[in-house]
Amino acid sequence: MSAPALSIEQLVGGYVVGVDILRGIDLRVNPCEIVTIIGPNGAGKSTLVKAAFGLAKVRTGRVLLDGDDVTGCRPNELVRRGIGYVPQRQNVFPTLSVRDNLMIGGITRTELIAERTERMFEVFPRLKEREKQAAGTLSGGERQMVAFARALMPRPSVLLLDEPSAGLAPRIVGEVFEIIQRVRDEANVSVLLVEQNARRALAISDRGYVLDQGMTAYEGTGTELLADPKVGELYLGGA
Amino acid sequence: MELLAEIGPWGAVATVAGIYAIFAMGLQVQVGHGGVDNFGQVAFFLIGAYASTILVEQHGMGLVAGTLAGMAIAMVAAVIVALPTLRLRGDFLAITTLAFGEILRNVAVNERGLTKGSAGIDAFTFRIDIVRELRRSLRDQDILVDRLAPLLILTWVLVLVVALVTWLLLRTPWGRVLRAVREDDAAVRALGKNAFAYRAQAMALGAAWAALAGTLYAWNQVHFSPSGFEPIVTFAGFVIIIAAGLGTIWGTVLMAILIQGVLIEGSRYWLDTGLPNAQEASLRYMVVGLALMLIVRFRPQGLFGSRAEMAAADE
Amino acid sequence: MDELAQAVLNSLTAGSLYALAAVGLTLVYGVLRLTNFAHGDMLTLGAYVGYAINVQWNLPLALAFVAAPVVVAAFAVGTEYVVWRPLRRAGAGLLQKLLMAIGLALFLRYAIQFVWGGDRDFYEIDNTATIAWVRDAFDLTLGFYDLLTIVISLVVLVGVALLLARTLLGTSMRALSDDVDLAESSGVDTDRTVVWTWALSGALVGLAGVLAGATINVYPTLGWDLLLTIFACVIVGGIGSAYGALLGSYVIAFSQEFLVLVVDDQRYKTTIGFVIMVLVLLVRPQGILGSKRAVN
Ligand SMILES: Nc1ncnc2c1ncn2[C@@H]1O[C@H](COP(=O)(O)OP(=O)(O)OP(=O)(O)O)[C@@H](O)[C@H]1O
Ligand SMILES: [Mg+2]
Repeated sequence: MSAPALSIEQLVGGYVVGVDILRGIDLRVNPCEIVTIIGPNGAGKSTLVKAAFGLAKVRTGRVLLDGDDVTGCRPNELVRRGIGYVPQRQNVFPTLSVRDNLMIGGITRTELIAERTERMFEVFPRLKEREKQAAGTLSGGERQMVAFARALMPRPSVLLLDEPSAGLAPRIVGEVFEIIQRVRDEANVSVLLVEQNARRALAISDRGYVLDQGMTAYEGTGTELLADPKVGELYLGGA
Repeated sequence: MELLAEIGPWGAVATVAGIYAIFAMGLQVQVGHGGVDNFGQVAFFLIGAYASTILVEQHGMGLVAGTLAGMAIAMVAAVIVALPTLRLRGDFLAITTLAFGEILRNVAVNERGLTKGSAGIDAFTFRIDIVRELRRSLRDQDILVDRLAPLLILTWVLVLVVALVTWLLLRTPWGRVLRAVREDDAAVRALGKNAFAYRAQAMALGAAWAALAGTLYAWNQVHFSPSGFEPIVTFAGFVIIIAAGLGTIWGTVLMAILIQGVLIEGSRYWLDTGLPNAQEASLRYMVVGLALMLIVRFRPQGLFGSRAEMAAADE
Repeated sequence: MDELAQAVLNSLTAGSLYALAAVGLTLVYGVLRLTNFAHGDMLTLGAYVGYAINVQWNLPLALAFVAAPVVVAAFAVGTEYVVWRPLRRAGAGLLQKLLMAIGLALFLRYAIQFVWGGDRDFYEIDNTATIAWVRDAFDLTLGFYDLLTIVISLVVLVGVALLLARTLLGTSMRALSDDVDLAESSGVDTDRTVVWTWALSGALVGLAGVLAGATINVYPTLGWDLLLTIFACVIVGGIGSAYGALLGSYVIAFSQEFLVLVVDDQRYKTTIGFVIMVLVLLVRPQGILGSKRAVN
């Protein structure tokens, strides 16, 4: 079997020395899988994703990308190596035009910028209509598309998405999940997804993890977790 | 009998160091305790010097009354400056207060009717009425005193008074709330205290000390002009309080002696670089700039302060 | 012709000079959230590079228009490596940064004074030369070096605008101004972008230094005396915004030239700039074109 696209081994770490938010986490995303992390507020979901992306400190443990150890690499190095990250909040450059947002996304692979920008406009035709508009003036859903497209510019092999549906109108939430699936299918990218909309996220996921107080409480396929009565009661807000 | 019959150059240096100790104490109250990054402290120094001099020399006010009036005017000016600027973010506050100092210096240069402009103005009443009379009467009793000694003694008495008053004020409930304001505005507001008013009061107290220092400066100079009130005066004050450590009172006095006294004023007597005077002066201020950079980089808590003080200053 | 038309010409010259200096100051602020009090003294350095070339080495002043930007840019980049980057890594707060900039400003100014002395000096150029056709046609005085200032500033700032709008580097700078963390997460090499920002800022203010040396004269506090006016330009236009700095520069220059006619006292020109700045800060701290984001 080939190496996982992303794997996290025995990870302990956080933001400040002496306060470990993550307390020994193992997680793996196989090529072209969608893997979802759910868990209560403050469980450390965002921190886990940030630690994988070099934005939070890893005290012990490893992060492997395609079998290579990338623990502690700077974010721009990780982008160059094929990880894309869409943060939970403030994930577009508000005064930059849509086109310039994409250009920044492609900055590690400048030779691809022209071709990839056109490709992104095919995938997200709404963005083509707004290419000259400042990203800060877009609607929430459109902004999320800009953020996705920006992260997809350099053809990443792994995409880290932190609550992409947060704060969006219910009608658009469905659209976001469709986009995630489509991106996975068309761009052959593995997705690690953090979601509050746990049911919908698990429904499109191959596998999932439940994070609680910095540790993995449950793991399984999306269907298994949805069917597990304990998980349902504790983390999915009852039946 | 001889009593400080010849105080020599170091006596003059010590007077200036004392004046800066008072000046820096004002800055310490504002920056170290009130959390107001006032980059225009020299403005209140200027107000003290000019207001007391104009009142005493041109309007016949007494020396003590003139000094107190200078301090009062500086306090009013401080509140007026504080009203709009204290609401600004840190670096804008720094720029605006700096500009305030420069505007006043500009006014002092241009309003010749009031200040005699760049030609400068005389403040000789202290030197003549007090010092000359004092020396004359002492000489009659066969006691010789240097003509610079009275101001030296007066200055250092005032340094002690100012340090003590500041130290005591900061230990009153007022001082404790002021500290709390610096550390956390929101918590203080929750207690129903008006954080803004406390900062403005710190600004005013600091301005009063600066004005007192300004008056002493005028008496020491006898003749002075707007060129004595460049922003570098404020920055020297910052070097003193940062080197001492934000919040420290006695450290400020000690650093005023070391930095303004030994280093800036005194180095011409102990350091012989063999360079022409002008170049030596430039070198002195290069060292001051470098010292500020090194302290800020490697020991932001100063010699006597704690690291938390510098961190709290950024709230 | 008349006083007002002459004031317009003077405003254009002053505004063009301010703009060259202001754009660099605002770019550094935007990218690093750093208020660089040493910016004025970097201008002085540029002016003295011109002095060294033109007077001490007797070479044509034209050389200085290349040398001064290079030297000042190198100095600015040097401060990034020696001073600013280590300070950022140490997690320094606002007061620390402000005082560091002040320390650097003092050091640079007195180093200049140490080397070149404290007197006023002039370039060996004929700065009384005026443009004949302006005099003949309109009866107005436009010095040769005033015109040069306007033209150079215009050309250079159009170049800067293109750089910011069209190139990857310029877009990266704008991205950093918007959100450093997101820029880093998007793969931007932020360290490299910051270094280029310093280089650009230094080059622009070095060029402004030579022009100030030619149109005013050269002395150690030349840049410091202009600094608060330049802050005024930057703040009025909206700190962090390059177009704002440009606009603010002309707003300040025109206000100074025209209000000075009202006050009828040339010596209050600088003060007028400060007063406008303070008023803008009180009414609209983000300036004319700035974003609220940049001032929070
Ligand atoms: N930059 C930071 N510095 C220090 N502590 C932080 C920082 N960001 C988050 N934390 C702390 O880390 C813990 C985990 O936060 P995290 O954002 O990872 O939770 P989360 O699972 O993503 O929650 P949410 O569902 O609210 O997004 C929280 O206790 C939080 O207070
Ligand atoms: Mg989160």
